[in-house]
Amino acid sequence: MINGLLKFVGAAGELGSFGARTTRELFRRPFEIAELTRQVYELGVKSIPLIAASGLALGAVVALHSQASMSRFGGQALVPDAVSIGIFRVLGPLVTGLLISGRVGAGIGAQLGGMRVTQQIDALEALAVDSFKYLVVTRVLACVVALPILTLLMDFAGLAGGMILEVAVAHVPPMLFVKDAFSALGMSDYLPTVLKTTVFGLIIGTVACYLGYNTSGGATGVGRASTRSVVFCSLLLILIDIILVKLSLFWSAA
Amino acid sequence: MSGDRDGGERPAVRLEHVFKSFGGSPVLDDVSIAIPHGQSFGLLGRSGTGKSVTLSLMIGLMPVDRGTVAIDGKELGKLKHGELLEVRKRVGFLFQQGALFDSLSVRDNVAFSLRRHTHKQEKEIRDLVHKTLQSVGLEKDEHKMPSALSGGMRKRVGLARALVLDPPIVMADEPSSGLDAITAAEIYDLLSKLKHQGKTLVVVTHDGAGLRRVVDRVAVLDQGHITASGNPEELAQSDNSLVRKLVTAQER
Repeated sequence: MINGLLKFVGAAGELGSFGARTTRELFRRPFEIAELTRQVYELGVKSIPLIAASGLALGAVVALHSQASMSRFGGQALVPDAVSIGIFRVLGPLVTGLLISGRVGAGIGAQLGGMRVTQQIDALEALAVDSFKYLVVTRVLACVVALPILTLLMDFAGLAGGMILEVAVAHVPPMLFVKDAFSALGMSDYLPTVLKTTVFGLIIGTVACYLGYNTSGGATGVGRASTRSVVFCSLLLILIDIILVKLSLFWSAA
Repeated sequence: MSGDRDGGERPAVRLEHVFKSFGGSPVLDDVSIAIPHGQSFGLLGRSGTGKSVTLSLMIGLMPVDRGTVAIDGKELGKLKHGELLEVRKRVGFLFQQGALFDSLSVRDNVAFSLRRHTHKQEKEIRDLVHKTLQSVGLEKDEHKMPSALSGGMRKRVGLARALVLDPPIVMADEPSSGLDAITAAEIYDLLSKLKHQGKTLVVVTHDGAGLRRVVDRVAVLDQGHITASGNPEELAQSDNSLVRKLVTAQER
C-alpha cells in the first residue's frame, strides 16, 4: 500500500518535471516549425472527420433527449437552448477531450514507445537532434493548438446535428433553431471553453508523450504505454474538468 | 583496474575509469580505452557483457556512473546538451538493427541530417543521398520504406545515414549480427573502405573473425573489464582461451 503510494507520488513528480521541461523548451531554439506543422496536421486535421461525425451524432442525441423531456411540460421551444448550452458548456469540450485522448493519446503513446524500443529516439540523438524538442515539445504544442479548434468544430457539428433532428422530427425552421440556439449563449460560454480545452490539450500531449518517451520493455511496453495514455488522459481530463467548471462558475458569479 | 591505454595526445575517443551499472548490477567496472585518430578499433565480448553499453556511453546516449568519456578531448559529462549535439555531428553511429525512422523513406532517412545540419539545396541533397546510397549498393531502393527492407539492407541504409555528413569518427554496433555470411562480408567491406579513408572506426561485435578483417586493434570485454588488448593476430594466439575463441569466432 505504502509502496504503491510512493510509486504514485514518484510518477506524479516525474510527470510534473516532464511537463515543466516541456514548457521550458517551448521557448528555446530551434522551434521545429516543420515538425510542429506536421504534428498539427497529423493530430488535428486528421481528427476532423471523427470530431465532426461525433458532434453530429452527439447533437442529435441531446436534441432527442431534450425533446422527450421537455415535451412533458410543453417546453419544446427550449430544445435549441438545451442543445447549445449542453454542448457548448458541458459535452463539447469533454467529449472532444475524451475522443482525442483515445485517438491521439494512444497514437502518441504507441508511436513514441515504438520509437524508444527500436532505438529511433537514440538514433535522433546520435544524429545530433534534440529528441525531446523534436518529438515531445512539438506534439504537446500541437495538442494545445488543436484541441480548442476541434472543440469548436465539435460544438458547431453538435448544433448542426441537433438542428437536423429538430427540422426532421419537429419540423422546426432551421433559422429559428439557429437563432434560439445562439441567443442562449454568451461570451462566457466560448472563452472558458477555449481555455479549458487548451489545458486538456496540454494534459493529453504531456501524459501521452511522457508515457511513450519513457517506454521500456519491448512490444509489451509499447502496448502498455498506449493503453495507459488513454486511461490516464481520460481520468485526468474528467478530474480537471470538474475543477475547471467549478472555477469558471466561480468566475461567472464574480 | 582493467585498462587499455595507448594513443597520443587527445585521442579521438577516450574512456577513463568508467563504471556503469544497471539496477545494482555492474556492467562496466573501471574500463579505460583510448582510440587515437585514424585507428580502427574493435571491442569484442560475449553477448550481454556491455559492449553496446560501452558504445552508447562513447557518444553520451547514456551517462556514466563514474569516470570520464571524451570525444576529441571534449568531456561529454561536462557539456550542455546543445554542446553534446555539436560533438555528435562528428560521429556517425550505426545501430544494431539500423534504427531507421520508420515513417520516412530510405532517401529521407539518409537526407535527414543533411536537411537538419546543412544549408544545402534540395537538389544537392538528393544528389548526395544518391551518391551515399550508391556507396552501400542501395541506390535503386531510395523510395522504399524501411519496413520493405531486409535486415542487411536496413544496416546498409543505417550506415549510409551515419556517413552522409562525412564524419571523421564512425561507430558500429554489431554490424554483422543476424546477417548471412555474404551480407556480413559486404558490411565489413564497407567498414574496411572507411578505414582506408582514414576515419576513426569503432566496431563492437562478437564476430571476431569478421572484425579481424577491419580493425587494427582489438580489446576484449569480459565481466566488466578489458581482459586483453592488442593486435588481432596476436590475440588470436593468446593463452587466454576466451580471448582466443572470441577473436577467431565467426558470427552464427
